[in-house]
Amino acid sequence: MVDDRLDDSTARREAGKRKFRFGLALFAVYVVGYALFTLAGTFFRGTLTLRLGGLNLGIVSGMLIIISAIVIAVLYNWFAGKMEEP
Amino acid sequence: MDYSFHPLAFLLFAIIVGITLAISFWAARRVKTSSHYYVAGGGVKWLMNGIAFAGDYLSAASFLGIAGLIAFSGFDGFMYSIGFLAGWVVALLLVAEPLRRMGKYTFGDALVSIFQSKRVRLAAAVSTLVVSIFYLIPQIVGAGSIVQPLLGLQYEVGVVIVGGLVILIVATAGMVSTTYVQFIKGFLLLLAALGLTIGVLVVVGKDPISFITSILNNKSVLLPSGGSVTGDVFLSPGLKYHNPTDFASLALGLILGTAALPHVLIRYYTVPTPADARKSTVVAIGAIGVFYILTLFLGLGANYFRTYDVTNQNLSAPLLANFIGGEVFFSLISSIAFATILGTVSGLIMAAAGAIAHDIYTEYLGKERSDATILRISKITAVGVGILAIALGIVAKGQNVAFLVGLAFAIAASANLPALLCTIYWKGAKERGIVAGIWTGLASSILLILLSPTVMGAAAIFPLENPGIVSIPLSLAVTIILSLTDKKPRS
Repeated sequence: MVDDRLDDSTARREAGKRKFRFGLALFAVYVVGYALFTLAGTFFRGTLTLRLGGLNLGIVSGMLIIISAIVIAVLYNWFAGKMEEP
Repeated sequence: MDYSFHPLAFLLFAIIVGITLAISFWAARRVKTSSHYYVAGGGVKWLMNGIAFAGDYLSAASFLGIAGLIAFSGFDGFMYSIGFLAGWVVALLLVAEPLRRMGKYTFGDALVSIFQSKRVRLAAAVSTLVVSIFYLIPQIVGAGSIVQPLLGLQYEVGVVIVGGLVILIVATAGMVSTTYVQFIKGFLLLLAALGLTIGVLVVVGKDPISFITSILNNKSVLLPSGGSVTGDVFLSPGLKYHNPTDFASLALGLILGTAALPHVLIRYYTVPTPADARKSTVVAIGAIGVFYILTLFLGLGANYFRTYDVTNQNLSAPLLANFIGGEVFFSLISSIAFATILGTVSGLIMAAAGAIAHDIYTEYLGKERSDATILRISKITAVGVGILAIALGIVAKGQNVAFLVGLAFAIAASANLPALLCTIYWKGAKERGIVAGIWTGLASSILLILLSPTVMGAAAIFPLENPGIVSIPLSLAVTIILSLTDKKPRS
């Protein structure tokens, strides 16, 4: 009984660590994207005027940052839910 | 359009406000303890909390301010949409679950759960109060702006009306009624933005991408403030933020501000578990993300149809509604915008009341009284903060509300976020570093705003409009250095 509880608690701790590492990886990807966008808007403004299809890079990258936030949120929630399964 | 009294507008306004008040009085019967008052007893379902998050967050700044900024400044206005959402990724991945595990009612509770220090409690409470008040000002400005064309009343009268209504909502039922109001308003606001976007695209006769392309290809986009630029210039950075460093400072303040806003943090305590805190954040990100994509079309539509008031940027979206769907649509959109402000202001006053009544009165001063007394003090505090907000709203007349909210984000990111992240993730964080970090972030961000062009105009001593790029790293550095040099063991 005690062993079961210890196993359960160790497994939960391990799952928590994996969830945190996954979240951190997603966060790193997002921050790099946001930082590149900010750097372009600060120091290389000309790049954001480049045309992509009918739009410019500024609008496309801005939209991508918004959409990727939603995708990251759904992905993290899916992974965290899996880690929390008994 | 003329800003005289419109009976239909008044009727719709009265219905929406009436529903809001009815919910408050109904919810008031469920408030039995201070836990019910502050965090709705911690029993809100995650889906409802997620939409209420959106209702709380999508303030006057998001709806009225961003649409106006995009109409007047193009891409620099859209930067607010991008940054306002980006901050939610920080909230989801770094703050939501640990905060729910640590706290009870307030941001101060979370820090004190690690440091057991009255000095930490006081610093967190003052910071919460200051950020809430800075965030309240633009909401009240938005309310005053919208009442003029909606009801034919003067700006100052609108400010008093919204202040009075919010005081009534918060003083009756606290977080229970605030949650319902924010939930309903979150839904209404999404529908309003979607309806308005569809209206713009139908009237223009283009799909979303073709509409943006047509603006990019336009050789002469008229600027409401005078003159014209090419579409390429309009939809690139630089029209508002001429100084590139200002753009970076805004971007930093926005991404780090959300997870440090007191009225956002308090909502993590309204759900039963950390998993619910996470799920409600995901719902919020979905709803808020869709809304911010739509804001681009509201702002571009207002510029395209020239539905702006050159004396008040905040009216661009309501005037666009008037152009698209006439008086009925205008009245509907404006009434929803008003409800939006009621929801956000309620959340902010709740956070401020928690800081004073719970953190300072009960915990810092050690006035352990009955739950009924604490409840009474909270309600009196809510009334006091509401009256202060009315006064400050009248003083700040004429400012763009999204811009003002950007400043509140910078203060929150400077004062609260370094302390919060170091408390959660760094075992080396010490009481001295946390306290000094909060005070440094608070003082430096406010001082830099006072020395900036926003307050001093051409005589500004600090060249940037947003202080984040200086005050956030400064606060973090002080937190780290004073923690590392503190040889005492963690309390």
